[in-house]
Amino acid sequence: MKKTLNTLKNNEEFEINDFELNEIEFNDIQDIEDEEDIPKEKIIKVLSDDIKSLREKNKQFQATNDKQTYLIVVFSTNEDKSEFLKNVNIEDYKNHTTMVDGYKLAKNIGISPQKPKFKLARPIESHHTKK
Amino acid sequence: MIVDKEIIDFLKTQKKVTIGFSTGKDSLACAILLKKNNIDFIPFFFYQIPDLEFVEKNIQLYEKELNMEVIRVPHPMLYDWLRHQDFQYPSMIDYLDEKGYIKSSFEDMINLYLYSIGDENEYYDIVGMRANESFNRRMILKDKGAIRHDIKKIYPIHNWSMKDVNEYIIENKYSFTDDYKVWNRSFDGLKYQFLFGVKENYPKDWQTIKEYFPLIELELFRYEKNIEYFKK
Repeated sequence: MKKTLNTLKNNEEFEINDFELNEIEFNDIQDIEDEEDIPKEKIIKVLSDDIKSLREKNKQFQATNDKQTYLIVVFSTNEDKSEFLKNVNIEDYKNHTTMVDGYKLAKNIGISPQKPKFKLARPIESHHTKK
Repeated sequence: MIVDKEIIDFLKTQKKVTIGFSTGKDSLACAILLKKNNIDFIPFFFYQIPDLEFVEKNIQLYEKELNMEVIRVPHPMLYDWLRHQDFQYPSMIDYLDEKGYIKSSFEDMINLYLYSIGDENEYYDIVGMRANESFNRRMILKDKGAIRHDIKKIYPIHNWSMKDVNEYIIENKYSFTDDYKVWNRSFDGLKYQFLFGVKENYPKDWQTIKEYFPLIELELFRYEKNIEYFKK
C-alpha cells in the first residue's frame, strides 16, 4: 500500500500532500496500481523536457532577425582595458561571426599580452584516430 | 583477475543495487559481474548533454547485450553548467536564471527515480573504481575498504587492472562502444579533449551540442590559441 501511495503521489506530480492521500478511496488507488509504469516514464520526461526547453529557446533566439552581437574581452589589467577601449572601434566587430584572437588584437593596439605559461594537454585520441 | 569473494557474498545478501553505468568499460565490467552472479540491479546513465545520437547508440547497445533497461537521467554536471550559464549567449542568462536549475547529486537523481516508481529502499550503489587508476584512489580504497557502509557504496573491481577489465569483457562476449575507437575511453563531456573528437566524427551531434551550448566553439578556440602562442 505504501508503494501504491507513493506511485499515486508521483502521478499527481507531487501536488498531493499526505493529508489528501488519506482521503482517497481504496478503489482509486487500485486503479492507479494497474498503471505503475506511468510515473517512472513521467519523471524521466519531466527531467528531460526541463532541459530540452533550452535547446528550443536557443533555436528561437538564433532564428530572430534582431540577433545581437557580443564581443567578450577579458583583460588582465585596467590599463589594458582603457587602452583597448581607446583604440578599438566596437562597431568594427558588429556582425562578426567568428571569435577574435585577443592576443593578436592586443598587439595591434600596442598592448603586450602575456603568452600562455602552461601548455594545455592534447585532445584525447585513440590509436585508431591518431594520424 | 581476482573476484573479491567477500564483495560477491555481500552483494548476494542485497535485494537490489544501483549502478552508475557510463557505458565505459569499468562500469560494464561491474554490470557483467552483477549479471553473472544473479544480483538484481538498476543501471543509471547520467547524460551530460541530451539528444546525442552516438551516446544513445551506446546505451542501446548495452540494453541489448545486458537485456535490460538503462535509466537515463541528467548528470549533475549538466545542471551545474546550466546554472553557471556556461557557453550561453548573454541574452539567455535571464532565461536560465528564471529556470532555476538546482544543484543535484547522483544520489538525488537515483532517489528521485526510485521515488517515482514507489520504491522507498536505499540501495547500495556499485562504482567501477579501481585502485590502480591513481594514487588517490589506491589510498582511499586501502583506508576505507571496498565496501563502504557509511556511504553505501561498493567497489567490486577495486583490485582489477585495466587488462583484467578488458579480458573480462571479451571473455564474456560483450562489446566496447565506438567511444574507444575515437577517444580510447568513454566520452566525458564539454571539454576540448573530447569535443574535437565529436566535431570530427559526429558532425550532427556537434550541431546538437551547439544548440544547447551556442558558444562552445570557444572551448576549442582556447586550446588552439594556447598551442599557437605557447610555441612562440
